[in-house]
Amino acid sequence: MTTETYDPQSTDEIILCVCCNAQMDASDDFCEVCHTPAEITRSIAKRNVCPHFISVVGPSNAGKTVYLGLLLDVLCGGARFLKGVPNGAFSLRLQEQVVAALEDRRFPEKTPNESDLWKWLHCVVTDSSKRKVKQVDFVAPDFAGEAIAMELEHPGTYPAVSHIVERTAAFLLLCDSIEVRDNGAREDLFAMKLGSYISQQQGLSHLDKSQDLTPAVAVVFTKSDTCPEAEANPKRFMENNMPRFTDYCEQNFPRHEVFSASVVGSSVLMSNSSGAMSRLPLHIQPRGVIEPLHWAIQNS
Amino acid sequence: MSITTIFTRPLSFFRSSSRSRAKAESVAAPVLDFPNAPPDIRILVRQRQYAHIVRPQDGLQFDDESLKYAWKAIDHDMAYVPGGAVILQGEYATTTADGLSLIPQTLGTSDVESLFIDRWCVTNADYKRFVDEGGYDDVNLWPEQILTTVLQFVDQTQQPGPAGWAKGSPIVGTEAQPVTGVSWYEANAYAQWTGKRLPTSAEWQRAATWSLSSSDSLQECRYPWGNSFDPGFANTWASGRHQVASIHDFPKGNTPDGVRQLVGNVWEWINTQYMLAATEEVSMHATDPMAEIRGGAYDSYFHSHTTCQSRSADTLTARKPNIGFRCCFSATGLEPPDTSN
Repeated sequence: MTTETYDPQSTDEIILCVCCNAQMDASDDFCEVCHTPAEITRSIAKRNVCPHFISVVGPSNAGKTVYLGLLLDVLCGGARFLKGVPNGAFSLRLQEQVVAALEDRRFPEKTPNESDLWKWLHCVVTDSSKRKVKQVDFVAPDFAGEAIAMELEHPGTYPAVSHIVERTAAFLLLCDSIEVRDNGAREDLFAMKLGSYISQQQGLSHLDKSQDLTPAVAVVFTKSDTCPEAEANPKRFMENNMPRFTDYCEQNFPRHEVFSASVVGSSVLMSNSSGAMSRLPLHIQPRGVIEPLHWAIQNS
Repeated sequence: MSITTIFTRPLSFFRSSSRSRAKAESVAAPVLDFPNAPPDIRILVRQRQYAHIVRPQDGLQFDDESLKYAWKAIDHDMAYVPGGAVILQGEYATTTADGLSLIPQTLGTSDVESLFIDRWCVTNADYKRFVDEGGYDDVNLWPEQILTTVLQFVDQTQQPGPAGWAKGSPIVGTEAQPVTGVSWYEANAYAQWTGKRLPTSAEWQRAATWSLSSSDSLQECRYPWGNSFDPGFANTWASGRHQVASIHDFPKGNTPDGVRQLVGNVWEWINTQYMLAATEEVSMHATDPMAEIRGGAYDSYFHSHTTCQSRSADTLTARKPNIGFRCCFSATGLEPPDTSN
C-alpha cells in the first residue's frame, strides 16, 4: 500500500513577476519591486499562457472597484457571449467585496493607496461571439485612483502602475459622468494626462506607423444612471464635454470606443454631519458593464 | 361561475379558470369584449373601465345586466385580495464603520382592507386606448401643479405617450408587454381614467403574500410562489432575458389566485411616497419627491432586492424602461349582483 503525500511547492523555484519580470522566490508573498502579489504570478505561470492585461484606469471615485467587481460577477454568471472563470480564490476577493456591499445597498470601501493592498483578478474569459471562440487570460489589478494620479504626477512612485500600463493590451478608462458633465475641463485634462502617460509608457511615439501596435482604449462613462446625456449618446457626450481628450484619442489611439455604464437603478443622496455627501443605491441593475470588456477583448 | 360565489365561495373564485385561459391566449394582449352587452357597457368593458360601473363616482346607478357584465370582466381581469395585516419592511440611513449605510428595519404592521387587484400589469395595448382616447389632454386626470410637465410626457416622436413609444403607438409586437416609460403621474392618470387607482405599498404586499401566508401568524412568504427564488419563475437578471417579457410569460411565478409577475419583469409604481428614516446626523438630499416601486424588473441583479417585502423608489417624473404599474380598487362595500335567475 502506498501513501500519497502532499507535494509542497519546491522552495527553490524561481519565477518572474508577471508585472515587472523581477525574480521572485517561491516564499515571496509580493514582488519586491512592484508589490504585485505572488499568487497572481503563480496563477498565470500555472496556466502557461501569455496574460492579457486589461487595465481599468481612471481618476479617484470614478467607480473602478465597483465596475471591476461587478464585471467579474457578471462574467461568472455568464453574459451572452462572454463567460469568465476566476483562476484562483484570490480573484474572488474583489468580486466578493463588491457584491456583498451592493447587495447590502452600499458601495464598497475605497481602494487603499498602498499597492500591496490592491486586489487583483485573473479570470479566464471565453468569447463565443464569433465562429472562432477566443479565450484570454484577463488579468487586472484594482488600482487606487489616487495612486494613478500620483504616478502621473511623479512617474515611478507606483512601479506596479507603470509596469502594468506598459504591458496592457486594452484600457478601460473610466470617467464619472456627473464629474465630466459638471467639471468637464478638469476631467478632460486628467484623461489627457493619462492618455499621454499610456503613450509614453508604451513608447508609442517611437512606433512604426505602418503597424498598429497601440492599445485599445475604451472610454467608459460610469454612473450614467444619474446622467441621461451620457447614457443616451456617450460618444457625443464625450465630444461635447471632453473635446481635448476626444481629439487626443483620434490622434493617438486608432482603436478607441466610447461607452456608458451604470450599476445602480435608483439611489438617494445623503450627507452626514461633516457634510460629506454619499450616494446610496436602492437597487442594482447593471447596464453596459460587459460591453466595454467585450469590445476590448475583440480589439486587442 | 355565479358572480355571487366571489363572496360566498371565495376560494372557487381564486381558482378561477383564468390560468387555464392564459395558456390558450396567444402572445397578444388579453382582449375583453362582450358583444351582447349594451353598447355603452361594451365600450367601458373593452377599455377596462368597468370599475366605473361597479363603483360609480358620479352617482350613476347601472342596471343589473350592466353590473353582470362588469363583474364578469372583473372576474377575468382582477383577483380578490381579502383584508388582513402585512409587516412592512424598510431601512434607515445611518453612519457605520463602512460610511453611510442603509440598515434594514421593520417599519411595522399595516392593516389592509379587501381589494381587487389587476392580475397583470397594464399592457401597452391597454395604455394605447388611454392615449387614443385623449388621456393626456384631459386636465381632470392630472394634478394642476404638473400640467406643464405633462407636456413633456411624450414619446420618441414628441407625441403624447410613454417614453419608448413612437408616433403614439408601442413598438409592434409589444402589445402584450407591460407598458413602461411612464411616470408615476401617467400611471395615476391611467388608473383614474379606468376608475381604479394604484395600490398602496401594504396592498401590493398583501396581494403578493396573503395566499401563501399562514392565517394564524404574520409570517409572510418571500416570493408570490413560496420562499425560494427560482429564475424560471420571474423575469429578473438571473432569468437571462434582460428585456421586458409578455404578461403571459413566467406563469409559474403566479400567486395561487392567478396574479402574474408581481415579482420580476417590471417594477410597479406604488401609491406610497418613499420615506427614508435616518439617524440624526444624516440628511437626505432629494430634489424631487419619490414614490415606492415594488417587485423588481428584468434587470434586477439581486433577487434579495425583489422579494414581496423589499422596496425601492424613484422620482415621480422618472420614465424608465423597467417601471410599469398595475391598478386596483377597494372591495369594501361592494355587493355582488344576484345572478341566480
